[in-house]
Amino acid sequence: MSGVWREQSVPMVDQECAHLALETIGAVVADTSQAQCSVRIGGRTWIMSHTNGRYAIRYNARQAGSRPSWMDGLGEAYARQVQLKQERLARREQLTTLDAEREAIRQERMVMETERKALIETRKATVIKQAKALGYRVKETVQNGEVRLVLVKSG
Amino acid sequence: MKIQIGHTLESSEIYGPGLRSVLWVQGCTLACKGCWNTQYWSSTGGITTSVDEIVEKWASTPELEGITLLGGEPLQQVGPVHALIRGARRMGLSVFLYTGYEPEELSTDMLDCFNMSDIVVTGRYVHELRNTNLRWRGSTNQIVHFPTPRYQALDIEEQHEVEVHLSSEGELSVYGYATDEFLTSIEVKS
Repeated sequence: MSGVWREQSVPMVDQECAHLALETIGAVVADTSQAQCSVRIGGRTWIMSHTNGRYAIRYNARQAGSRPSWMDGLGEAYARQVQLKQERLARREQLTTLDAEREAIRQERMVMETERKALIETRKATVIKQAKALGYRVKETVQNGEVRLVLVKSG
Repeated sequence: MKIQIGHTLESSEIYGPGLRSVLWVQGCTLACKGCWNTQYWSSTGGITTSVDEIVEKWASTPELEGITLLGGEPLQQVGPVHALIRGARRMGLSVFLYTGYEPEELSTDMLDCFNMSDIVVTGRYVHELRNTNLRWRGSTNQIVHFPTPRYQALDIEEQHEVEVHLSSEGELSVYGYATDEFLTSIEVKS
């Protein structure tokens, strides 16, 4: 029987949405810079840092029970914040009569899209590089916006 | 008719010939030592869905050659699994069934599912006989059967296969016989 490994949440690429998502699950975000911030929740302080194109909070997965339960709701909260931000930007773009402001909103939406695409490209490149280093042949297919990589190694 | 399922994959290339829709049926009491999918053991986990909905989804998935049922133990929900197999065959899709049972352990209804499938892999996963270089099997005791003529001429080239899916939001999922070394290197496992 073969295995199934799935990430437990959507990777967070937009800092504003990540902070808003954390706040909706009860966290207090402080000491914010582009590279990291501190997150106070459940009586502990965690560091959220920007690595490999996404914001992540590290915990020791090797230690049983170390994954904090509040993390379960974070992915969904983040996805919701991305959706709300996109709706907000679309509404503002519709309502504004100033060309300059409209252009600024368009740019902001473009940045979000660029970050999303960059994350996918980075992660795809990492998978292909690691797979090839381990001796796999790699076949790539794109279907409905999802990338499928089939890795094959003769026995 | 309802079925309890653990996970679905709209299309995959490593669970049988061609492009296949894959369904992990929830619930298994066989509890093989070293099982790769213990998250699908509980009969109350996963989600409840209707067989008709699943079959309709297959109809709207382009370029499918067939479906693959694994788990969990598909034959422990033999009624709905029988209905799924019938639905797939009506659409001309091939059926690949995984079961941890040996052929001689199958009840009449289970045997019906076996006989209607084009490819069946039988037998418990035996951790001591684990071999990730086998195609479609996890341990050397497991046997590939071809109950219908559809794939009887197929030459199974033994190979190690892994499939990585990257969603439009950048979320990674890995299927197949991935090693810890590979999973760690792509940050799916710490």
